[in-house]
Amino acid sequence: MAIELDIVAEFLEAYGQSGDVINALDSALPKLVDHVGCEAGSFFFGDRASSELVCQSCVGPVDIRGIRIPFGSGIVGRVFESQAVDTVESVESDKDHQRSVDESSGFVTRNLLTLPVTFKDSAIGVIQLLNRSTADDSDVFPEPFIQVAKALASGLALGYHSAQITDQVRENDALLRDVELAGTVQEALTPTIPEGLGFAAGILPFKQLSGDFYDYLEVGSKVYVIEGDVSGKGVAASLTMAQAQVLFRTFARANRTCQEIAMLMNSELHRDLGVSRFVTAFIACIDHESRVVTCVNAGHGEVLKIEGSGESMHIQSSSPPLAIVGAADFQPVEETYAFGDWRLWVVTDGISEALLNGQEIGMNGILAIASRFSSDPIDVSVAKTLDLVRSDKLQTSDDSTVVVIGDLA
Amino acid sequence: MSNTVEMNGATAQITLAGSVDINTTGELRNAIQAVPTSATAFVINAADVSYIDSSGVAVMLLAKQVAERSSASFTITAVSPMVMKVLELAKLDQILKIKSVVGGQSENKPSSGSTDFSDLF
Repeated sequence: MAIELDIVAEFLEAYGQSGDVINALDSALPKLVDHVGCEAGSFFFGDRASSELVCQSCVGPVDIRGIRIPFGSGIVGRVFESQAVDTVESVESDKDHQRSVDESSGFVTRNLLTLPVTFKDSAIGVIQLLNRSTADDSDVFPEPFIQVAKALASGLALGYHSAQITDQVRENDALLRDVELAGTVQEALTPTIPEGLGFAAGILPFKQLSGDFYDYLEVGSKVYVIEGDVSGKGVAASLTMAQAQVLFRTFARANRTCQEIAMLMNSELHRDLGVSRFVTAFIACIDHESRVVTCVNAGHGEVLKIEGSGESMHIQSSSPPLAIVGAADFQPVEETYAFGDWRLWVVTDGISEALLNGQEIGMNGILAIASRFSSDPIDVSVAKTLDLVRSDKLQTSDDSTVVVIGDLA
Repeated sequence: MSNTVEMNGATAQITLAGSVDINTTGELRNAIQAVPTSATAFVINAADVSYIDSSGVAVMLLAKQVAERSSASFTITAVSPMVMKVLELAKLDQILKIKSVVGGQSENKPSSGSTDFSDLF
């Protein structure tokens, strides 16, 4: 058995050095075929994408690499499905033997041994050894011979499994790098806000990529602000987020009203996103010349308006989120507030649905936060609010974004 | 608790239950899109939903859209109060017509009315 083990060990070593399982098999298979006294040998890989067995390695007088046999066809198909060792001492009497392969290649198959290559009950492929010559009339495929072939099949399965894991790790690494890069791009798209614009904002992504966003654009004496939340998460949501930001900037730059910006964004996103995604948005325009703030709430949940006196009111959403309905059914209502001693607190559900002692804080919690930080400048109150999430006093499982408009007295 | 799509004759019966979020809606979306175009009705029951996020709401909207594409009727027979609250906040109750709101479970998130927020600061 020593030489058989050597063949398997050589195969595994070759795989370890090259990382290429077929390359390793190309060097091991001839040794096995020679050792067991066969004329030819081959390995067929079960390609589940095409439902075919593909010859990836072979040794013998005819090169059949690349030949494809549908699952369930021929003897290799039979063994791939049954996952049982199959010996055919005379192919003449086997109905599944595909004579067309012999006819096209000129190779005459007399007998063959076919073994499944499996790992944890999952079929990877089959090994076939052909035309074993025997000196006498003894058993063509004696048990010791089958054991040698099985040992190689086990080694091959192990090698294949390792190769698959290696490929997955490589793919995952590539994906992680992509997500990391997307996170960096997203961070770059999140602006730092200078003082004196009349609003402050902050964002705390729950994972690497956020579905929340905020942005602003100065157009003359006006400052346009948006806070949005894209449905779903991950790379797809972050792409939608980037698209929404571009649309916001495009229409804000054209000096549109908040209502027009929302309607135009809705039309574009409705056309592009179809049924897969939507964006809740709060859009405001701080006009430092006419000293008014106009705003639109498109499916973004409640917004808190708190006066310096402590009195408060909730601004409800006046329309569905962006992208869900067409232009005809999308009629958001614009609200207008003169500059004064008040603040608007716009938060995403990562904050409003956060838990304190196991209870969702809701708008009462937002009111408590807004009241508590009312004497702080707006940028400080935003930072302190996000610190509540960072310190785990507020427990959330979503992205947390806060925009506070105010200090406009 | 699981989310299911079952064909009952020509009716696609969609049952949402438990937590309907980004982690549980992937297969559900595929199942809704795989409903045969011969379906004449889509019926959603979300009475036992304890939590729903925007991904869950998107699934309800997807079902509506698939139904419209097939010229099938679309009905939400029941939702839990939690689902109703989310739909109302987003003004989606105007789009997704709901027949009834029934007492459902609330996942660890009772009303904050009696919460002492002094613990927060």
